[in-house]
Amino acid sequence: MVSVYVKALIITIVIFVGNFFFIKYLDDSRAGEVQARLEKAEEELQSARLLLLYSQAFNNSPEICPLLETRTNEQINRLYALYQELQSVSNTNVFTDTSRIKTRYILSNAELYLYAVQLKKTCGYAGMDPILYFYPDKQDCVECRAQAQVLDKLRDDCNNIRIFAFPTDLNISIADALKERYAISQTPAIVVADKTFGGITSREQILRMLQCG
Amino acid sequence: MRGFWLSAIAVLAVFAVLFHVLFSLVPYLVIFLAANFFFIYVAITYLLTYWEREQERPSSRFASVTVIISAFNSGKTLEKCLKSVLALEYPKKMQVILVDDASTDDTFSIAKRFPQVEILRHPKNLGKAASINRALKKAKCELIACIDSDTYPAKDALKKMVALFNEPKVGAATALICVEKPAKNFVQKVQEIEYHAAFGFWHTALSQLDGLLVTPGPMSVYSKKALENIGGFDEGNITEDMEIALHLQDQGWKIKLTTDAKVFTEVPQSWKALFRQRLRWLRGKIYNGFKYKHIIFNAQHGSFGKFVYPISFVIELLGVVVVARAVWMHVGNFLNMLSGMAGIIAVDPSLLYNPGIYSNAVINSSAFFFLFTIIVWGYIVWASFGIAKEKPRISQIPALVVFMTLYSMFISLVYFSGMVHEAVGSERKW
Repeated sequence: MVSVYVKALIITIVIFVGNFFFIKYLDDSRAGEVQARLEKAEEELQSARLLLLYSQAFNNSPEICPLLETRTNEQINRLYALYQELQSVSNTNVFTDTSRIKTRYILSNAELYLYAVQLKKTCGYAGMDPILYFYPDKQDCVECRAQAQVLDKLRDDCNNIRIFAFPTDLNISIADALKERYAISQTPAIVVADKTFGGITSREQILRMLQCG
Repeated sequence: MRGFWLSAIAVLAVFAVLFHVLFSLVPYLVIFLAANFFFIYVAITYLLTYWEREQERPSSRFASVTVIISAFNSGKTLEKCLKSVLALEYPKKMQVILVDDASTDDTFSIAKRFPQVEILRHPKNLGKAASINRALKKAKCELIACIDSDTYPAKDALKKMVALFNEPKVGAATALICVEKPAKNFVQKVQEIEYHAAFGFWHTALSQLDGLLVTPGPMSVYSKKALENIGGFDEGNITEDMEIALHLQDQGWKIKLTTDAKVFTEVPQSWKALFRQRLRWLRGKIYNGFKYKHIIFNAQHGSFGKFVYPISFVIELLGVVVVARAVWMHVGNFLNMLSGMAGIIAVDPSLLYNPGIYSNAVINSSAFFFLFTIIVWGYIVWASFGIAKEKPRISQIPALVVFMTLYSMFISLVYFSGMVHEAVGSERKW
């Protein structure tokens, strides 16, 4: 005769294991969805990059520039929306490791940033003023949440301002290279018009450097 | 008083350091999952025990009973109490003793109106335990029914309780304690549900494991032989009903329960009064925990020593840790928001709020458990109403919701306060 304590322990373990499988299923589906969207964004980025290459190969065909600018704006907006979703998934997940998706995302984002810089040189792409935002990924930082709030609002209000966020502590070479280039020594930090600002930078300070269009 | 506050601040500082170390070392998720595992395990153990319960075979022999009522300034309730005691349906003659513990109101004059009642009057207030002990010396019967002066047993309660003395080792019999009807306000409505759950469901499960932690003060029946064996009630104890239950079981006496016997009692009418009552209960529990520490994890005491008694302390401690974690987080957020509002961080302070234990990861990982907890709690409340042979009324829904959600936080606050009071060593008062 199994005692009531052993029976209760078995039932509790079954409930826990059931719960873990259930959460794992939810985690996997959420991560899978974001990954699929990221792959789509990567394909589009590759296509845009090819168009730029095409333009450069055939004597900087200017007729392709408006198309490239429109596409790039869409890309930047899409990737930024994906960033928020990725953050939410990575905060929500308990069992699924989202770090690889995050790394892929950061690489795509860096690629998009460099592509936009290149586009600016090739087409004179005037519609974009980039702000680079550096934050720690592995720890909670109150000031970073405050800075992110300021940047989100600016992005919503100004069509020309584009935010590219880079974590400082994930050992991703391109993020580290940018960090070194702009001498980032603290977080949060932003780079506006090639100038680095450490700590929280207010909306007013940013708008002194950039026009809100 | 100043000494108390200084000691309380020192104790709170020690708690803060302990919590800080604990919360820095152990992530939210681990605390919640561990607490969930434990709570679910205990709930399932008691549920299984409840489902596998066996019916008592009642004794057909009715022993003689002495009813002892201890009263102190009970003018408002005593008449109703005495009337219900004298109306008890019992096949044998009862001796009724009322102890007036130096009341300053009309308790004595009310008691005098009942010639069937023997009155003992104390020149100075001695407390409930001492009053019962004095009355015990005058008791002539085999069984002793101790009844509070603000309690009104149902007509058949005594008969059903006495039927539990079906073997020589039964030292006490307890009943289903209910809040006197109608509940006068919301605080009493919440307690009405709590009493059903505590004295109905939980006591049924505990009694199956021979693990009742208390012979409820409102009304319990004792074997006179058992009381004499343990030397009566502990007169210095603020929860003498808890102490005697431990003492009886420590000496090998059994405590039985019948939920067929209903006993109605007056309960606190305000949150403040309820807090004070529960603080007394908890402090009494901690005090008695030290006094009877040899029972904890003692296999000689069966399920009571191995499981019920130690687990009751762990649950309370875990409850405090879980609530402290929430409070800890809110204090941190509040300070962040304050610094935001003070302009140190010039942004909307609401965005500085760290969701912490309400973060998606914690909520998601616990969603299943929350659901489980709601279902189990719902079942326990439903079963408890069944035990009390009542149906929940629509007007009870707000009280039900509060009981199943916020009430446990209130109780955890009492536990924490009780721990601080015990650590400070402030005087234990009735």
